[in-house]
Amino acid sequence: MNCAEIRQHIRDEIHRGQSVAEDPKLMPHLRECELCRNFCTDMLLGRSLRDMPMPEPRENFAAEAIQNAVNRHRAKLRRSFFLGFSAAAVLMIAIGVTFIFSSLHPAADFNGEPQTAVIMPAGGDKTVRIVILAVEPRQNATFTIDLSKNAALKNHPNQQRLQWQTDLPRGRNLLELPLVLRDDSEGYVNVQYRYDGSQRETRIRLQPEAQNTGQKTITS
Amino acid sequence: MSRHKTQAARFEHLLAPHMNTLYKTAWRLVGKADEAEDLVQQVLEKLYPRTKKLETIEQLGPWLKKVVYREFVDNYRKRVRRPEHYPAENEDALENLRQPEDNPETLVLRAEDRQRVMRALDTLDGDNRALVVMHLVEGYSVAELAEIFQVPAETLKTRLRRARARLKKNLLV
Repeated sequence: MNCAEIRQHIRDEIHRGQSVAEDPKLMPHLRECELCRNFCTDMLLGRSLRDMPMPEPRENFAAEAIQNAVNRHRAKLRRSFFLGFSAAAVLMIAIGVTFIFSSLHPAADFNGEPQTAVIMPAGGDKTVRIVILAVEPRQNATFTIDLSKNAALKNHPNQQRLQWQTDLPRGRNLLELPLVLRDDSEGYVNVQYRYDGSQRETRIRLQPEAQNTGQKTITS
Repeated sequence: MSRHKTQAARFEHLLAPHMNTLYKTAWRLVGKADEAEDLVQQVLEKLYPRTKKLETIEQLGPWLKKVVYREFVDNYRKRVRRPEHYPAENEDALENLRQPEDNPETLVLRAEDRQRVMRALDTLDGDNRALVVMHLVEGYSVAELAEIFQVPAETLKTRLRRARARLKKNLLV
């Protein structure tokens, strides 16, 4: 037999599930022909692997696996939704905090360079009202007020610094500062707000009425 | 019926007829029932969000088998955490193997011994095991395997030759 006939014979034997190891027609050829030997070995390996006894999967595996795939996808979607929701919530809180401090000290920067001015009447006083929007109740929030030398709180005229602790309920909280500017020069009030390890600080420029530059003022 | 229920029903309708084949394919690759189930589960979880795409595939059975193979190879590569390395011809000691050719009767005899074949298959690494199974059992051509593994056909031929040589060597051990 030539190579083509040998290979067809191997195919036929394997197809019939016969052993070829002791086939007298094959072995003499296989001993001499490397290509047919490789072909035969590959065919036998393939058959052995295909016919390998295989343990059954656990009962109901198919139905359970499909159901698990569906359930896990839904759980993943829920997680994604809540993660997205949480991210949105964090973003909203961040915006809220920004808003709080912009309410606290509108348009003031944190580098000590006031950008928002409160126009103070010459020789008079003015109450500056600051709204603090607490997105959560804040226990033992610490407020520190620092004033320039030419500024004072009307009811604490000799104190350049005041510090106190308070609990802030959730929502809008009003801080009223009755301010006095003692001369014609510009002053400032620095407000620091601390809670749970967080700290925000900014200052408000107190501008004598004569120096009014038309800048935006906060609620007074 | 909600969109999810509809999708779940469609997915089950598509996959249920192929579950046995998927399990068998997975088992041939991993050799253990629980690991085969895990592999199938992993594949199903990746396929469910693609239910619409599954509906457009004409020959779903062969396509699913390829997905199982790819998943197995991906898992293997993640597990071994090393880049693919194919030794140059002269670096590969397997090139010098002459045992299978020197013992044709024994080789043929042992190639018919399923347990011995399985043990020899177990000695192959994940990539080569997948190659051998896909080529010898499933009958994928080198060109098809090159497409599945995203490897040039010539490279794949070399890998396949080495994998078969190793398998045959281990059959004779």
